[in-house]
Amino acid sequence: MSDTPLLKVENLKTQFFTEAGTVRAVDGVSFTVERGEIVGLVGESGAGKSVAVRSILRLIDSPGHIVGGEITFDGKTVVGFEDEPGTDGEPTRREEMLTNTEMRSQIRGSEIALIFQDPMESLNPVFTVGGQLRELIELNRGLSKQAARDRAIEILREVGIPQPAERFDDYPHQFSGGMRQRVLIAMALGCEPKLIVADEPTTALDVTVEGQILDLVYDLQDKYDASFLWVTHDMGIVAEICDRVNVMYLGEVVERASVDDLFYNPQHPYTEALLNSIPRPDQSTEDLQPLEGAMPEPINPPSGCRFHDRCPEAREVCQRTHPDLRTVTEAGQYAACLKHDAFEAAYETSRPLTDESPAAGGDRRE
Amino acid sequence: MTDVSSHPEESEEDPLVRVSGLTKHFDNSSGLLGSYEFAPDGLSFPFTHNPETVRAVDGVSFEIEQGETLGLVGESGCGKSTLARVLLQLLSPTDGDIHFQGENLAELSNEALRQRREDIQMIFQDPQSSLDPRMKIGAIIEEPMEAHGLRDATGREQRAKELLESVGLEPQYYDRYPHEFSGGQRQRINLARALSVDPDFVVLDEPTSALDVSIQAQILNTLQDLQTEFGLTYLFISHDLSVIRHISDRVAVMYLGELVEVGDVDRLFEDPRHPYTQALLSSIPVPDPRSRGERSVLHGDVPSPINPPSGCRFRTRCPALIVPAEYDISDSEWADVRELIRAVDRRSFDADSVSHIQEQFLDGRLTDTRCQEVVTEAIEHTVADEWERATELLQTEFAEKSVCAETAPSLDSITGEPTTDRRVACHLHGSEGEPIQHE
Ligand SMILES: Nc1ncnc2c1ncn2[C@@H]1O[C@H](COP(=O)(O)OP(=O)(O)OP(=O)(O)O)[C@@H](O)[C@H]1O
Ligand code: SF4
Ligand code: SF4
Ligand SMILES: [Mg+2]
Repeated sequence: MSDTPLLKVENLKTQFFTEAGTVRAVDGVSFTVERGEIVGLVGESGAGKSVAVRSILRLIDSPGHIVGGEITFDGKTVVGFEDEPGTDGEPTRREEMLTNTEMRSQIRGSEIALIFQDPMESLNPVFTVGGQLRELIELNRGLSKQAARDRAIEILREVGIPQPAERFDDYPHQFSGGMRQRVLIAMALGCEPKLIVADEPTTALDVTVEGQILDLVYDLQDKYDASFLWVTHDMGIVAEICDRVNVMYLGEVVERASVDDLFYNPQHPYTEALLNSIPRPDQSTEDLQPLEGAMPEPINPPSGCRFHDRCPEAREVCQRTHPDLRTVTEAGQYAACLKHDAFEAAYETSRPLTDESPAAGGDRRE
Repeated sequence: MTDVSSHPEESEEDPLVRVSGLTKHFDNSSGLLGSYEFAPDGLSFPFTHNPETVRAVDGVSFEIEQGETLGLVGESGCGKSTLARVLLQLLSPTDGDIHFQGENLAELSNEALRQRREDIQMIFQDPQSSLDPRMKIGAIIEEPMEAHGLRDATGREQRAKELLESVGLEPQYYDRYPHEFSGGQRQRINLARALSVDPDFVVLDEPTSALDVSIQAQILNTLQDLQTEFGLTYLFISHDLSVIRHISDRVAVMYLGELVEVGDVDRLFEDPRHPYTQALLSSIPVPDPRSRGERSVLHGDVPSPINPPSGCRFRTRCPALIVPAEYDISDSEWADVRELIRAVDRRSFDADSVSHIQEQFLDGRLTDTRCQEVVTEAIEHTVADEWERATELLQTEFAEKSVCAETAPSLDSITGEPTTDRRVACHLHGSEGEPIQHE
């Protein structure tokens, strides 16, 4: 079983049914996390990163629904539907798909730990930090109350909480943002999960605190052989910790590559544009070359390639043909862009979309 | 397109802005704390209710030349936003002076101050909440012109439409409402509004922090274009070192209410001199997988601004804390002792046996016997679970005997630097230091 990926997401579709229309937040996304790996999920605000990771944990609330796809984790079916929809036209859950109770008791918090940008989402403000951690350890590891307390203090020390024994009985609001984030990591450690899903855990933190947390991630990986799915919009963090990266744009994965290929040989124009728009801390950048415009809403995504109204390399064919994610290099890098031969889309002979194209009708700056 | 207003009283040598000894203390019991960004020190209850003083900004001095961008960088809670608010006269300083175009703002008459308010504008971080949702874009942009009685209605409309174009929007947006616009567009509307009264100086407090990188890049480019077009001077506040490097001509680094280093952007980034600047710069993850692992980490948390450390405020975390003069131990021995002091303070190890702890932190016995005695005694305390006594002993015998604890380093030019422009507040850099100003 260890040669199958720890987590496998195939063609995941999650939609929100709102008054304004159907929001196709995640629209056919596939990726895997292998054992011991740190996989990045990057993209701009609204690309669908959080909806994708919440779908993996089945934490999508109404009006949102997972409407299609397959998610397997460590041999268990987290999401799986019958090929044929039910009589009401809704997708029918396959029998082996975990129930909500099973998700709660077998997966969330024990097999897959979650670390959000706002740690208060996972901490209960009315219980002490130590108490919450102790209880988690008691439940997950079957230790006595005293043994669980000792272990909790040990873990708090390990994640760098100063004076852990003295601070055990503090409440979450008495901790700084960085320390709360460390408490969440401590909780993740307390149950020794196989996968840690981190959704922008350091975005709200200062760079020195962020550095402390990133170091902790390395320690955890060494010590517990944990795998990570790491959501971020920060290319610095991607470069620093990820093994493989998935780039998301408007509900889809548009490129997947090893971290080195992603930075040195990007195959999708969107990835390239992202890299060209970041100022660098290590060298002076004369000119930033931002993409024009902003990512459209996922209610009525553009036809063809969803990136065509902002893509500097867009051609007429891109308005009509929707590229799926395909292998485009010998090294096994994936991209969803018609300019690659693998698509046989007659891109070369197609007319470039210039500024007079219909897409440029509105304000293209935002 | 615009008249960059000139002031006859302004002499050639005067910088546009000169801030000297600027200080802002908050009385913790007065409720002002609510609006104050505040980093807990990690060792005490973050929102204490004792009536002590929060030393948010403490004796800050700098100058900004006409037409330049000064970047102000530092971690959250270090006093950046308070400094900006004092500069904008939104808060009155506890002490110190602000000179604008050669005039001391504190000495101006109300009328003259009103005029000055026109010359100094501000852009905040959150583009969502800073626009009134019930007002049309045109009215939003014209509001400051109206408040200052500039132009007639037709003139204001014309000016608003020109400004929309200058900031990269369409003049037709004049009749629309804020909710129709994205975060990046709203920040452009804020810019147009700020520029409507022809300011000389714009204070930007984290103006792109809430935006995506591609939108951030658009706004940064627009800011640079506007600076050239209107001859603007910027104070650009950010915690993002990459953005600061990109946009600034000169940079000021702030730590716990004080400036620790000021200098030309390239010199400062390529050759940082203050240990805090060095630590900040080396902690950024660089967007290049091939320079992985070159990061280093600054440990510990920012102490509370209520009781900042004596002497150099960075000393509780400084990787270069200077060895007390009375001890005769090598650099590497001192580095080990420094580690031990901080580990004891944070209680970050399991105190099992004296010999084990000695081995864990030190490479053999210390050459200076007095030092070794203190260390042994402290370790014995930890094993006896008397952490407080251990901490106190190490603090009084080591940390507080360092020159870094005894005297506050002043922000001075450093030896060996070609220009006097670079200033650093650290005893390692030849400045004499001043007697302790506070405990
Ligand atoms: N409860 C909801 N109802 C309607 N639409 C939603 C809901 N939650 C998310 N969406 C939409 O789904 C899309 C994807 O959102 P998501 O939060 O996953 O983006 P993200 O990539 O995580 O962005 P960010 O970087 O801002 O965190 C967005 O268009 C968002 O507006
Ligand atoms: S398919 Fe066309 S529009 Fe889409 S990324 Fe490739 S070149 Fe650009
Ligand atoms: S004065 Fe001392 S503590 Fe402060 S930065 Fe310099 S070496 Fe470090
Ligand atoms: Mg998100």
